[in-house]
Amino acid sequence: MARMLTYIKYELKIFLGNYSNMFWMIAFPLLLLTVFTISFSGLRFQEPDLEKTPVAYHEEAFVPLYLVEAPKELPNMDMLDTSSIENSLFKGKAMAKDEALAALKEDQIDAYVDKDLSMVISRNGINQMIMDEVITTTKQISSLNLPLAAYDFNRNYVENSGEKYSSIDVIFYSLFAMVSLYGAYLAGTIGNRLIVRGQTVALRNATTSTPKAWQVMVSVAASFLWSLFMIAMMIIYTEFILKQNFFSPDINNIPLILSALIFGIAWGLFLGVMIKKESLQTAAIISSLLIMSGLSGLFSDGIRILIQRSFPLIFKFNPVSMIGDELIKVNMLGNYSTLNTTVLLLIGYSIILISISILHMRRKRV
Amino acid sequence: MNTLYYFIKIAKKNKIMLISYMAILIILTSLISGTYEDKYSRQKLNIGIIKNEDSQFGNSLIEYLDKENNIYYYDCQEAAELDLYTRFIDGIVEIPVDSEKILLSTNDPPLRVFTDITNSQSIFLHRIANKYPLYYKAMINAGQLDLERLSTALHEKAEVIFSSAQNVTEKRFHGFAGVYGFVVMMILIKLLGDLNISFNKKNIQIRNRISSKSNHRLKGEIMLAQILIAVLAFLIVIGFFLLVLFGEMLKSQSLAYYLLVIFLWTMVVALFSNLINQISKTKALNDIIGNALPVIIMFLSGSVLPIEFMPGFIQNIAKFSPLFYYNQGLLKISESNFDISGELLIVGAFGIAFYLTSIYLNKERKTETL
Repeated sequence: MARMLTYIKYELKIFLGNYSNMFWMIAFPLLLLTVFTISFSGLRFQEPDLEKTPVAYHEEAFVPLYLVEAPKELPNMDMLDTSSIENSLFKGKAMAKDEALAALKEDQIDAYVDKDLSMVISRNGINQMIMDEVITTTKQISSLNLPLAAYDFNRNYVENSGEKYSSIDVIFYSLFAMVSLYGAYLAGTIGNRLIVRGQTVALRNATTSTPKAWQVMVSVAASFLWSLFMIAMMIIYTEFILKQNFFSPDINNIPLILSALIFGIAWGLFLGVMIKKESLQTAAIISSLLIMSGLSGLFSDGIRILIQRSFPLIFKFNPVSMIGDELIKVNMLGNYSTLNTTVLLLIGYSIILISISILHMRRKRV
Repeated sequence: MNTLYYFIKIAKKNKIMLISYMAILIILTSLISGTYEDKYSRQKLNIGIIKNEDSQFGNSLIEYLDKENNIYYYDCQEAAELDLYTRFIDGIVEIPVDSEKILLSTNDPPLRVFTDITNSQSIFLHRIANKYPLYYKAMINAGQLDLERLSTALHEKAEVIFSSAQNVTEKRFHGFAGVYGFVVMMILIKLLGDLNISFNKKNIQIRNRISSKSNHRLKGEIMLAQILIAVLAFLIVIGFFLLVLFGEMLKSQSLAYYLLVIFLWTMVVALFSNLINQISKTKALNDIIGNALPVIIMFLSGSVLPIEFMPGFIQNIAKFSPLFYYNQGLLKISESNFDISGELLIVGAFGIAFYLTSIYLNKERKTETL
């Protein structure tokens, strides 16, 4: 055991012995996490500031706008003050068209409703959509041509369950998922030790009395411990230093993280075995992790949605998306419906990658 | 000339990186440009449907929602929850068992809607979903249920006129200038860094020592070459974008102001790269700084997210970033406020500070060597 620990210690010492590896392995994820937290933590669970839409209208548009939320018993319409209107959705003033267009240009109002119920806007947004919906509803009711008494405007036809969610979390969980695969960097060196491609270290390993299985075990153990350490460091940094709540003390995180770590090692082993050049191996590992994480939403939650809509299969089988999504489900939603499938799928991927790597190594090792 | 020759050699070596950065510039500019619209676009809602009943009411409701929105089917609320969390869908409409019976014979809600109260689109879904049963029940109450007539009525739409005095090309150019601000940082830090490092090679240093040229003159020439390279980068990138993508901008009154700010910024970045070169002497460190620093400055200066959305202390930190004043200058020009002398002065002052610090560091290093 002591010998194993010594080997692991040296393995890590060699690997972390240069600035570049230190940066990509430790500083880069912590830097990203810090920058993300500074930039986006304020947006988490933030409710939109929805105020009543400020509008202007032509006097002749008053009645249809008034009827949008008319009282149960209609007053004498001729007696109503038509110069202003206010309900739960909008507040408005009667205005001449030129005056209203000037107000629209200066962003004082979001829409102007003309006498024929056409609407003038100067930009797109939720307030403009609400006013569009209001006028559309008025037109539809008019088109249906039913007696007003047939409508039960006071009945609630929909039971609404509103929850506070945070879509920006996708960025953070993609980063956590990427870090859980960091074992790939160390595992990527295994191929170089076992397949003689001109490297002296491989030649030395091939002639040493230390069994190959032992050498592989040391590298795998070092990769595993390293990625476990990285995950622990990220969790501690997130929860206790940045004071962001992303992880709940849920035991279901354990199988998920373990399967992610195994996949990370298998991925590194696979790339290390299949790619001959050492510099290309590192580039392939860095870029593959960044691409998988990018597709999963590391750089923008919008990219993730775009991929999910346009290429659902890429999204569905992308390991980083699988891990990130499952982390959200376990830690934010307490939802374990797909946990077993994801864990099994990740282990399945790992078995395939390890099998291909072993077969390739057996053919190439001499 | 020798320095420029080296630069071309280095640019050739880094052609993939340069192409990638240009691609980033084009992609980000296009993405940002897409957000500036000159017509009304009612955003489609993405609605998750959980259908527990096969009734006339349920089916016609789905048909109505499907016409103007994107529909995704789920077996249960648990299966749709993650997609609602990530905003893949804006809300979930559940048609419960016996929903038609509930609509017609009770006063209870016949539909269930799950929304995300942090998403304004989601809140809007509630209104859309409420409308259909209202009309359906009204037709039943009036004894005139006719799904075709209902469908025709639902086709009625408000006429929306988009009136915007602002020129969309100018808005798009503003978006491009914002992206240029940090992409040019990445390009110049990398290129000028590699150039400087190539002069640090042992054989070149030995040659320089025995050369008749003074060290002072050599440094001056390298500095001049760096400025020339920055001017070239400015001319090539801006020229390409102006001629290919923003031709209409050539007639714009604001173009001169934009070019002034962008040019000054490019020069300041060149001086900043020079300062970095005094600190970083290896290619690996230069790569790290060249990739990491622009990303940090970009986030802290309101290039990605408007600075008003950031915490107070970040807004204070932003005031120490020249990119913040560059962005402020661009914002003013986009609002047709051409009084940008304050921003230009501050950005220029940063440039002078970078230059003086690099001279100081260079002297310090020389003293240490002696």
